[in-house]
Amino acid sequence: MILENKYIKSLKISHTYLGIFAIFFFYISTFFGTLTVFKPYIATWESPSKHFQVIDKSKINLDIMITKGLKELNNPTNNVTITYPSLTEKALGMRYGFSENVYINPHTNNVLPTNHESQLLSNFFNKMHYDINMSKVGQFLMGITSIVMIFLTISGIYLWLLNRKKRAVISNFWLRWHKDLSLLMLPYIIVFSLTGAVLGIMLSLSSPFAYSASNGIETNMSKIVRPIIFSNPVKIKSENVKATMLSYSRLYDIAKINYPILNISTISLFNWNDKNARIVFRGNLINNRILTSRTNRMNIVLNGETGEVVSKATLDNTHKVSHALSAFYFFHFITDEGILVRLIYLITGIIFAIGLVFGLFVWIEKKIKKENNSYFNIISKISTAFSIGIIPATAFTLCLYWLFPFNLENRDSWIIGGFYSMWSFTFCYSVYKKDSIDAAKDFFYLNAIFLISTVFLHGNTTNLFLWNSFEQSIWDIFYIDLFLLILGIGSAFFAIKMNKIKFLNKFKGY
Amino acid sequence: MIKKILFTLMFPLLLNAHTLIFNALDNEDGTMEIEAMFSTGRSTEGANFKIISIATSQILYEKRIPTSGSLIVDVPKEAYTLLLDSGPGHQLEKNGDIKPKNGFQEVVIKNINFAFYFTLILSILFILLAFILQFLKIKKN
Repeated sequence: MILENKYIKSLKISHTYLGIFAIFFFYISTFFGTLTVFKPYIATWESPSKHFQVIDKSKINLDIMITKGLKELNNPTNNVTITYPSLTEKALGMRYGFSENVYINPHTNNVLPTNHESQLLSNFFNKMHYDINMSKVGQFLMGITSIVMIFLTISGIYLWLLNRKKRAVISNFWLRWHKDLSLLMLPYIIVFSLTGAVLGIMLSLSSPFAYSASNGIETNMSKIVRPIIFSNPVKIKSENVKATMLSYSRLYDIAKINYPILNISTISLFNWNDKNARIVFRGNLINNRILTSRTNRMNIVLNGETGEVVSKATLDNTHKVSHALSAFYFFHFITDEGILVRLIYLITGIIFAIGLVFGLFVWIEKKIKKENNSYFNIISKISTAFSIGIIPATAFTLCLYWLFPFNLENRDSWIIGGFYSMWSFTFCYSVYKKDSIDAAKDFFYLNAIFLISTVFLHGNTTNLFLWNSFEQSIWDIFYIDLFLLILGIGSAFFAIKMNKIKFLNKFKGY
Repeated sequence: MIKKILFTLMFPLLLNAHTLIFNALDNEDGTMEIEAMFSTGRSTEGANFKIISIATSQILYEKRIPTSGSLIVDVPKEAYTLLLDSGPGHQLEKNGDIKPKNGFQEVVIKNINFAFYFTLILSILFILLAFILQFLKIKKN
């Protein structure tokens, strides 16, 4: 019995302290991960050249666009990849080998001027999500945090079951909500901690496995496995005999007729204008998006000259392991999903982040009551800056993005540096204010100012104000601006009403 | 069975576990040969290769890597870095260590990222100020 008590006590201590370590990293990862869920939309919003309507697929003129794109890329004939316009990438993208993408407006068929557009915001949010902008060290840390999250999930469930067995009533406000929210979010936590652990840790530490599996010949796992899994469907060599190709639109139609359930997302050209030309149409299956996500795309290969079907990859002739990997990536990246699934991820992300912060408050409250010293006071201030201060800091980044001219020297450094400066300011301000709840209130005001300014600065820079995007039916841009505006107004409203919200009185004195 | 499990576990490594490699070889005739490939042996054909001046950040040379995977370029007369860019997450930068016969010309350094240092110092100042404020609070109590 004593031994069992000791074991449970150790488990509780481990859950608490490992939780404190993991909360900070996982909170940041969750916050930016939730923003990254909207990466394709943010990427469009931050690129003024892509502020146009989503085109009706039947109106796309592949022949003109691909010809123009090829010309822009100096007419390459091999290894050309074309990204078909979609809801998330409205322009047609084209690249040759590893060249940068050339984008073509499907409405005007003109090449887009993307010279100064670097997708800074969406890439920065993504980097903060997977490596807190600290490269491989950050990625490794995130991996470790994910493993800790797996432990926290298991130990949390075990402790909860133990309490249920004892019929113990949880009276602590923070603990009750931490438990309820975490249990509610269990599937979400499992998916993201498992995928995070694999992406963070296994990517960094695969060399010994590769070394062992190849009997000491190779340390790069990718070099061993990639040729098997991602084998190029086109290995045929050019015959060096000129031939006339069918038009791209004709070949597209043939692919659709022969593979109607293939939702084409990319088109690749090999040995073009040669007797042995091949065109590969890749995409996911309309009726099975989970098993055909980005790591297991289906394809149909046609002969460029005759349109004859050379090969067709179906789910039946891909490996079961590829299916598992595809599902694994699908739930983390939701690459092909529309706005509805992304909004569900947003809501679950917010609930999970709140659950994490409540877990930290269980510990802070206990420590302040027990020891009542300033050490724990600063921890609560750091927590305020981490959890609430990060919100106006991110809004400030959006604001700076549209405030600074696109040709400003070191523009990226100003914007990213601005984010860190504002974030550290929120920490300083939390300490300056006696009560963190007052600091939080001011952060929500700041957030409102930044978000509302962002909407107008965006309109001013692109000449596409909210009412213009509405008039011109550029819905993705309109909804992003509207969302930011509502979020800004909501943030101000929340700050005004904060003192009257009974629930928030729980935060008083921290 | 164990092999299958191990294989399954290793699959997610595939997407990112290939790194860029590129070398610059001195031809000793005022030119150098740039060779670029992925660690998996795949060609980096089409990737953008740049030579950038360390002093002024100006692009001294820019060209896509051809099918052969190598380029012959003139050795710059000023200190430079080599940058291979093959899309997000696949960028590699190296200091150019091949010098012209008479050494590098001296160029006035204009390449100070003022934005980086300014925001870095500002961030550190805020954090320091926070700790000073907390210290003063403790002392007051």
